[in-house]
Amino acid sequence: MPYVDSLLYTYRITTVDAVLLTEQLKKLPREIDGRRRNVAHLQSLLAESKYLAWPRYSEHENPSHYMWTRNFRTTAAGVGRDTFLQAVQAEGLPLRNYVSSVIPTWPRLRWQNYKGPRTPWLDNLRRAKVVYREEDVPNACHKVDHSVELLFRFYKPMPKTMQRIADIVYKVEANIDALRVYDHENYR
Amino acid sequence: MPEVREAEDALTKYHDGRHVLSLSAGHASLQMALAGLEIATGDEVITTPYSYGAPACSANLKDAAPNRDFQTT
Repeated sequence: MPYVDSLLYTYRITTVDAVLLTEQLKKLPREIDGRRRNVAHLQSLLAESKYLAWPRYSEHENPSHYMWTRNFRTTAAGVGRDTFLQAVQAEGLPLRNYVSSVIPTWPRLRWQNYKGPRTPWLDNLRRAKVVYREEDVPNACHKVDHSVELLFRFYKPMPKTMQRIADIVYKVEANIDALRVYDHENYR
Repeated sequence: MPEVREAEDALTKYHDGRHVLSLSAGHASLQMALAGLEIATGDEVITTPYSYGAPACSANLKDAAPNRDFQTT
């Protein structure tokens, strides 16, 4: 294929990966089921959360929750999402925003006056005259600004861990006034 | 490779008999999907800007113009 610039690249899975896949696939349904049970329990524990909203899923969606995601209600909380994240992280909960920026803002996708290493797609962008910085993507920007995620590696029943997560969220929410002061002094 | 065939058979069974082609990476899978749809120069591919680069870059590699915004949950 003309756009593959490495003789080492292969499109097919390796035999080692295939063997691992075959074995790991056997435990996948059990692990996904365990994760869904933990998420359901955590969701019930966080039912009274004021500032973490559950994303809307359609009836056809049944997430496996590889990544547990919520939307932070910035306006209702009166503090920025990043301030909230700092607070929960300080309490030991590794909540973060998984996607930190939308694609149109990426410098390496701007071919105009680009001086860096050549990437396979830059010529295509230049030929197609695609100017990403002119793309208006308000929905994606809103998601980036409000989303919080947790890598959800909880396959077995872990009620104590779910309770600990909920306790941290509620503790931070209970101290939201102090966070507002901190947020105002540092970011506004 | 028999190991690859065995893995693809297991995935086919897992997905209720759907056809499976195992590839080396998500990016390779996206490129194969676009190739299968015969996406080419002048086509537009609608994807998400809330992601990493693979969907948009795959479309670029096919000379198609990627990217528009849509509602993200």
